[in-house]
Amino acid sequence: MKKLFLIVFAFVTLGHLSAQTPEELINKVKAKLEKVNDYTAQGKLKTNVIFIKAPIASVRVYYKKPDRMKIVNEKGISFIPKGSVNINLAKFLSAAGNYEIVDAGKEATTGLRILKLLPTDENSDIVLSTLYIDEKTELIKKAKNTTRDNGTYELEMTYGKYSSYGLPDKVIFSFNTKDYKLPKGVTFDYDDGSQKKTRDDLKNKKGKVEITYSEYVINKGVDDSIFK
Amino acid sequence: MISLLKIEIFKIFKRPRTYIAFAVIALIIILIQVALKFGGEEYVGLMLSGMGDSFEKVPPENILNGYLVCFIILNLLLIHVPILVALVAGDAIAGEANMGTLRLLVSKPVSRAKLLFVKFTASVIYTLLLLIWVAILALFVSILVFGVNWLGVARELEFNVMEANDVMWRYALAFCFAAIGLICVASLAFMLSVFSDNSIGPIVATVCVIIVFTILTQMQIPFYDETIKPYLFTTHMLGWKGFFYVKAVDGVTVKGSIENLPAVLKSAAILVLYTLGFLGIAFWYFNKKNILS
Amino acid sequence: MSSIIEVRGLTKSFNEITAVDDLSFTVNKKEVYGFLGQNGAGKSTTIRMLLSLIRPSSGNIKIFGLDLLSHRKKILQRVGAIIEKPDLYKYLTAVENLRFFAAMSGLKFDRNQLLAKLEKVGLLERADSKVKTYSQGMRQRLGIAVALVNDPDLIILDEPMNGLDPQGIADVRQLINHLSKDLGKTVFISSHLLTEMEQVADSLLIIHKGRKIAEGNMQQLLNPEQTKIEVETNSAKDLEQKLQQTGWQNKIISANGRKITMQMKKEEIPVFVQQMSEMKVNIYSIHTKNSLEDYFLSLTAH
Repeated sequence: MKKLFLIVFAFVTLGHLSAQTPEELINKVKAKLEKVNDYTAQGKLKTNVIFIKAPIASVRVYYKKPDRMKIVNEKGISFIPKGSVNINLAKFLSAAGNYEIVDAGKEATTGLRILKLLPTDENSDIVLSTLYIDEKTELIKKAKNTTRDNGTYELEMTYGKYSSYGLPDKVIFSFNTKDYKLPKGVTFDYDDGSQKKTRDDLKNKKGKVEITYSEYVINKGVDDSIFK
Repeated sequence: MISLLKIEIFKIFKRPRTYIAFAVIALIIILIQVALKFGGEEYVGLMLSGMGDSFEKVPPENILNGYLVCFIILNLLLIHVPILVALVAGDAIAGEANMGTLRLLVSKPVSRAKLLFVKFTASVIYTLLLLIWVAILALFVSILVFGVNWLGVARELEFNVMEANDVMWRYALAFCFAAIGLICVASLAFMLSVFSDNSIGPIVATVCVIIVFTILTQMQIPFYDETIKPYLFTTHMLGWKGFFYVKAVDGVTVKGSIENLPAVLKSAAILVLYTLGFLGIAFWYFNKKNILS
Repeated sequence: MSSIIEVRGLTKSFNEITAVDDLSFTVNKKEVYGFLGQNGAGKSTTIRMLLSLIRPSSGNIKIFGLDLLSHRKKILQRVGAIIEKPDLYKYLTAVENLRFFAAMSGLKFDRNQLLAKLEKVGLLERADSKVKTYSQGMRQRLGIAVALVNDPDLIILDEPMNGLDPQGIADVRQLINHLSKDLGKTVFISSHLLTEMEQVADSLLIIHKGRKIAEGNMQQLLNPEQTKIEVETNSAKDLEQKLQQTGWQNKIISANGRKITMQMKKEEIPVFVQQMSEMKVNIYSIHTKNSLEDYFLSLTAH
């Protein structure tokens, strides 16, 4: 028993000793992301929102350093949550303004390092960003952002082939949905007599948008006109 | 029987009012198409207004396509087409009485039941031709002008989207359903026609019934919703829309799905029952009616 | 079978009003049968019952020896009718109208056959004009063509002379004679025009307030005793005086101006004429006055 305690103690101490500082970690993450000047990616966009039933849409995602991002739906109808521009963390991290970093320790279940970022720029869209970073891979696995105008949303990233660029294979974007409110008498709905949800059922729900990326074309140049 | 039917159809198409009906439909549809071509964005905005601010703007050219335009047109023709159906069906017997020809018809060696059957069938054929005309203009011409894309249907409490290749079969079924609905209207007008000696009465009465019932169907006042709404045939005439309400798993549309097919089929059956009821009354009354005109 | 129409105990009530009350009569083959009555007497109702337009409240109708209720189709295939004025489809041409009503009788004619029928009623030139451009007389003629399109054995005419000018009335009269005498058809005709009926009908039925008040052969009905004559002379009064001494004075009804009205048996008329001639009375004309009218009025007076 005593032996076990000694081993655990040493391990924890050692682990703590080799921990990076928040600034170091952020910089490492930033460096990775900054390798990307631009990219074009194919994506499949899936919505899971209580008042939307939609097929999975094919989208193209364009990014150009430092902060331009556009998701385009060529054919079909897709719902891209507002503030999606902020799905790109590189933009945030490389923002002109600076931020305070607060070390919030580790997430117990996943072992991810939690860092809270508070932008010093009063005009920044994001008011608080909580990042869950994998220290080993230097990749942001989760982010919870509180925005000034568009509420709070969460991002969950899964990485694969393009992890060296910090580009995820899959992003799950969770947000609070506002009420779905269509004026009565506009739709002339067919009432099939079944028990219906009410408007209240639609309130204060979380919605999810999932983008699964394939084929990143990185640093091959993206025309400015796309972002107009 | 066939020769009598051919002649009755011939009679219908010899009247200017028949062609006016087709022209009116064409005019309304073209007006809607022109309006959407130049002001469609605003309408799309209205449709999407349910989502409020949560999402980025959807490119209007994706949403405003031939399939949506057809849907909008069918929505708006809710009242007009039944009126035009009533115009012919309501005239079927009352018009003959008014013209004075009914007494000659009934004194011919054709049974009263056969006479009614032929007249009603001619009205139904006219109704179906009118519907085919609507289909050609509302669906195919819209596709020509606006192209095809995914179809987005704004419902009161949700927004349903289906892929472009998941739409045509729904329209095929929707038009079949619409045919049943319009035949129901025709049978109502026809029944009223049997009771009257002039055609204005049955036509106006049918139109009034449809308007009043449609208002009751749409008003969403709980008292009516719980008591009479399920029994109004106008409630069930909207069943064609049911083919555009989809099922979803985790928010993703299930291709080829219909949210509540049993309900739509039930509505169709109710409409058929109403039709048979109206016709039954018409046949019963006409059989014993004294022709005094 | 020589009786074409056999009606027994025919009654029709509309709510509280009895329009036809226990009517019975027989129409024989090749007869022109006159159905007389005032307006509202029940003629139209009876005719509509014969044509199955109205269902009787009670009673029995047999046409061509067959019961109307159970053999309606078979019977009506051999019947042609004009009910009041002929109403046809104004937005169709004469040919189209004719083709339509022929089809309703189960008959199919080609265009030439239809034109031939229209020629018989003098409408060949306007065969392809819409009926709404037709005059009243032309519509009447088309109505006749329609009634005869199926070459019926029995023709029923309900007030066919209503609203017609003298020429039109004469045409109808001619038609009835042609149908009956030349073509051997049976004609059942209702009217309130007594003078016309007198000229065409072989038999009569008089209906009043829904009930039959007289029926029979024209000759039998019109009592020779009742023959009224109107004599035109120089001076009626003078003649009246002259007749005082003779047995004719009782037969005088009235004497005014140049006309003296008398009543006598039909056989007595030649005797009267001879005697007047012997008496050197100037007679300018003798007319038999509306004996049917008198008969009718006398029956319906009470």
